[in-house]
Amino acid sequence: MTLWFTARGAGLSALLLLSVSTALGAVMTGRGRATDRVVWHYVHRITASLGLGVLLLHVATILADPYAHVGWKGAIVPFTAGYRPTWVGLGTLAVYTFVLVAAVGFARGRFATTPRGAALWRRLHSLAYLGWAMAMWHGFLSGTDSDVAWVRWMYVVCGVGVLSALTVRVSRIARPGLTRHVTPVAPAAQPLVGAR
Amino acid sequence: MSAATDVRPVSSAADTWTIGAPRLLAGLDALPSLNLAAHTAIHGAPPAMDRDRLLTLLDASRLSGRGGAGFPLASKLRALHGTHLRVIVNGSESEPASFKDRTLLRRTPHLVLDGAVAVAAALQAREVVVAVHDAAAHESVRRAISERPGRGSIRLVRRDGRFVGGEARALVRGIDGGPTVPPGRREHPGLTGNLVSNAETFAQAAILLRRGARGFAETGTHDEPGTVLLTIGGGVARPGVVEAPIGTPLGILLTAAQAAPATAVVAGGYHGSWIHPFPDIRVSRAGLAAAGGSLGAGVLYVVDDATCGLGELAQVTGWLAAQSAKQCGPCRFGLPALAADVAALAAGQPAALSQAFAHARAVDGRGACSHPDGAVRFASSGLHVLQDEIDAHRRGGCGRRVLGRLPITGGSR
Amino acid sequence: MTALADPGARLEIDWTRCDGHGLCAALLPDRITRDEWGFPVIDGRPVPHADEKAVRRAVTVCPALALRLTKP
Repeated sequence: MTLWFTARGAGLSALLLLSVSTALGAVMTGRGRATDRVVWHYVHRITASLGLGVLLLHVATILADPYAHVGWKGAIVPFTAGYRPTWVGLGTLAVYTFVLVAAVGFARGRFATTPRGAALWRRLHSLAYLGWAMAMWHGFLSGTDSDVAWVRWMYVVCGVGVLSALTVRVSRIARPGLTRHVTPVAPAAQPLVGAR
Repeated sequence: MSAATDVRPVSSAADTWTIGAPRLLAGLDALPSLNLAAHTAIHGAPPAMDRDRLLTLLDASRLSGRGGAGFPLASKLRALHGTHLRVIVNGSESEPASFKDRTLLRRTPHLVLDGAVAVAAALQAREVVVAVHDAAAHESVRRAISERPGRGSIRLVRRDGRFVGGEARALVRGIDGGPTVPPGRREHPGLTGNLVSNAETFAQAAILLRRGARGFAETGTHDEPGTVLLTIGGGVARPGVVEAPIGTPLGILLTAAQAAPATAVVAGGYHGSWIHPFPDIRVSRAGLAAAGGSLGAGVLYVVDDATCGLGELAQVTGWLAAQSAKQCGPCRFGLPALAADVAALAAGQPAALSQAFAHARAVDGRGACSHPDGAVRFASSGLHVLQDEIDAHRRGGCGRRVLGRLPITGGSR
Repeated sequence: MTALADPGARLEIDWTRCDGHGLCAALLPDRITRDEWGFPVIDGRPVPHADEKAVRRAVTVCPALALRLTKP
C-alpha cells in the first residue's frame, strides 16, 4: 500500500506546489521593489520545479501500482485508463500542459529575440491556468481522498488562491493606462548582486 | 520694405519659385498642375532601364534621399532583401514646416510616379505603393494613376497624418494594416523587401533617368549634384516651395525670399537644427553639416527678430513632445521634461538651461526610432543659437511675442 | 591573437516593450542604471563570455521581455 499512499500524497503535494506557483505567476507582474521581485521570480520557479518533480513521482507511483488500474497506456493516452477514464485523462492532459508550460518558462530568454516572441511566450505560458484547472478537476473527481474534510479544504484553498490571483491579474490588465507604472527610483537602491 | 508685416504663413504656399532653371518644378510657373499630356510634353517619355544600369546611374550621381536622412538611393537598393519587393513612395509629409512633397504630388504627380515605376521595374518589384495623407494630394495622385497605362501595379493608400506616421517603418506597418508606429527594433525596411523613399527622391530619380548622370550633374555641387526642393517660410515675405541648385548660398535664398532680419534659421525641419543665418553657408548636406545644421527635409524657416525666438523654440519643442508615439519611456517622459525646461527658460528661470541639456542627453538615442534624437537635436541647437535670447529672458524678457513663425498646426493644410 | 579577438555578445533593449520595472538594473548594477523615470541606461559595451550567465538571468527575469542578448 506504500505506493498507493505515496501516489495520493504526491498528487496532493504537487497540486499544492503548482497552485502556489501559478498564483505567484499571476500576481508577480505588478509592483514592488525590483530586488524583491527578483526573489519572487525565483520562488515561482522553485515551486514550479518542485511541483513538477513531485508530479512525476505521482505519475510514476500510479504506474507502478497495480491497484490503481491505470497502466501505461491509460496514463499516456488520455481517456483510455481502466479506472475513471475521463478524470484520469484530465490528469494526463494536465501533466502534458505543465511540462510544456515549464519548458516555455525555462526558455523565456530565447523568446525575447523577436517581436512576436514576447507575445507568444505569454500566450503559451498562460496555459498554466488551463493545466491547473484540469489538475484540480482531475484531483477532486478522481482522487480517493476527496471526501476527507481537510483534503477538501486544501482544494478550496488552492482554488481560492489561484482564482483570486487571476482576478487581481485581470483587473490590472483591464485598468486603462496601466502599462506605465513608475517604480520610484531611489538613487541609493541596493543592488541585488554585491561586488563579485 | 518692412518684411515683417508682409509675412504670410506657408499655408498659402501654392507658391513655387526657382533659383536657376527648374527641373522638378518645370512647367508649374505656367500651369497649376500637369496632367499626363502636359507632363509628357514638358519632360518627355519616361525611360526604362534594368537594375544594373539604374545602379550605375545612381552611383554616378550620388543621388541621396530627400526625406531627411539622406541615404544614397543606391545603398537602399543594394540593401534590399527578399523576393516580394515593394517600392513605397513616402508622400505623407507629416513635417508641418515642409510643403515640397505635397506640391509635387498635387501639381506634378507623374514625375514622382515615373521615378517610382522605373525603380520598381528595374528591381522587378511586385508593386508600387504611394502613401499620402493630404486630401488634395490623394485626389491628384488618384487621377494621375488612372491616366497611366498599367495602372494596376500602383496602389494608393491614405495614411495617418501624425508626425510619427511618416517614419519609414511606421509607414510600412500602417500600409500593411498594423499600427502606424515604429517597431521595437531599429532595422531598416529594406530587410523585409521594402524600398521606402521620399516623394521628391523619386521625382529626382525621374529627372536623372532622362538626363543621365552628366546632365544631372550640370548643376549642384560635385559631391551633391542636382537641385533640391526647399520649403522656405517663417519670417519671409515670399514663402514657398523653391527649387534651387544644391550648394546655393543661404544668403541668396534668404534675399530671394525677402527675409526679414533673422535671429536664426531652422534648417532641415523639426528634426533639424537651428543655425546662425550666415549668408555664406551653402545649402547642401555638406554645407549645412559644416555649419552645425542639416539639410534634412529641405526646410529653411527664418526666425526673424520681430518674434520671440525662445518662445518659438519652446512651442515647437512642446509640439515634438506631444508627437511621441508614447511607446518608449525615455521619449514619452523625457521629451515633455525637455519641453518644460525650454518653456521655463522662456519664462526666465536660469537653472533650466543645464537641466535642459541634461534631459537632452538622457533622452538621445534611447527609443525605438529617431524621434527623440531629432527632437533633442532641434532643441539643443536652438538653445545654443539663442544664447542671447536666453540671457535677455533671464533679465526680464525680450519684449517680443511669439508670432508663430514655426508652424505647429499639424501635417496637412 | 589578443584577448580582444572575441567581440562578445551585445545586450540590447526593445524600448517599446520596456516598462521600467527595473529588475535588470537590480541584477546588473555594473552595467545598467536607471534614469529619473525608472528606465534603464544600458552600458553599450560588449558582454564578455564570463558575464553571459548573469546577463542572461536579467534577460529572463525582465517582466516585459524587453532585453535580448545578441550573438556577434
